[in-house]
Amino acid sequence: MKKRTSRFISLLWLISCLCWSAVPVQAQQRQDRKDAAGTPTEVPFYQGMAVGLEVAGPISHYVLGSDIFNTELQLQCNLKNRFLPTLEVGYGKTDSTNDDNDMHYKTSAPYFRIGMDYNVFHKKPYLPGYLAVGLRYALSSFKYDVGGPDMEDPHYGGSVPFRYEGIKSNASWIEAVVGVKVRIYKAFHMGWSLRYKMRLSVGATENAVPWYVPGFGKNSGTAFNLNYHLMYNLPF
Amino acid sequence: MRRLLFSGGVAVAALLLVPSCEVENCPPNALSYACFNLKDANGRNVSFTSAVSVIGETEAGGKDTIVNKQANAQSFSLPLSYADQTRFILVYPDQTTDTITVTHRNIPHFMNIDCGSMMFHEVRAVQTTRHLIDSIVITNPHIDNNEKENFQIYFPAVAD
Repeated sequence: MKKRTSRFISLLWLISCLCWSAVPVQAQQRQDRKDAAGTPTEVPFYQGMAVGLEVAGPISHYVLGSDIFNTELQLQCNLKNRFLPTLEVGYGKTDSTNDDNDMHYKTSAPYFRIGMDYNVFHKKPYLPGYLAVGLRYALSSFKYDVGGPDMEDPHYGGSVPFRYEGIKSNASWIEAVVGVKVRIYKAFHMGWSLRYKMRLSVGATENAVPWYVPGFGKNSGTAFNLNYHLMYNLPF
Repeated sequence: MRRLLFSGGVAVAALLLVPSCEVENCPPNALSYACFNLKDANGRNVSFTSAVSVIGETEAGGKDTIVNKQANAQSFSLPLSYADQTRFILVYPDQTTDTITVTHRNIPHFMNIDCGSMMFHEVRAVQTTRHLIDSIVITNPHIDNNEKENFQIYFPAVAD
């Protein structure tokens, strides 16, 4: 299932890459922002807002049957067609049981990211999309349940139950983002972003360390993630 | 064309790389053992030249022979029970014994959904009889799956 999900995301990525490659040749011809007299024109400071919805997470959960559900809304402001301050609010949940050992983990919580993208193609506004790099700071506060079979004492006999509910935790991390955004129809865009996540902190107790962190994914020092957004440029 | 090749290359790399990031690594040692190092009166490492056995038992009657007539032992790695107290009976070659009683708190610990759970312990107290043992010292009360010294047992009469 994991492999199918990953390949599905990769397929989305490939489709958007092909869309990017299919940009009409005449649109790729250099068009510097100069007026008729040949002097550079001033780029307006505010260039609009866009909202986006992450769709790869819901598709992998509802269509491919992944145990992990993850989606997010993105609000992005375009300043000078170069700087793109971004706020992302998401929701992640999992209710997973390992069939081999009956271990169970459950959590659901919102997460928040704030950061900024930089439009690498800001000097080419005639293109129907752009390549961006960016950074995010993210955090999530959540509770989780863990449980499993009773723990059997292998040497002396006897057993103790293993179930903990409502363990509080929080996590913070930073993300380096590389992504593309391509216009598909009028104000509608789509795009993927590859995210390298580096964990800053995660709360642990003596009984457990979170296995899955909403917004981050499986808990480890670093993680990769592919997001796929459908976006709409707001008319203001 | 170059852009198309680049895009295709990136996508193929994603196909190959992303699944490989999802491997879970479980610790090779999923059991917790208390490590007892044997010392002489001057704190130097010593070993029993003759065979020593160690029997572990609990108040509830659980019993297990953990070390069976081991010669040249310099240390023992012994499992604590899931009860609050575990006794270790050291049986010397002449069939005399010393009993070490460890009082401990048990800490069930969730590793992750693939690797399962394991039991850690925190030592609260230790007592010993004094047939051959002079004293015992807790050097690290936290017992988990990382092998480290937890106790030092002093045997003033044991030769190096």
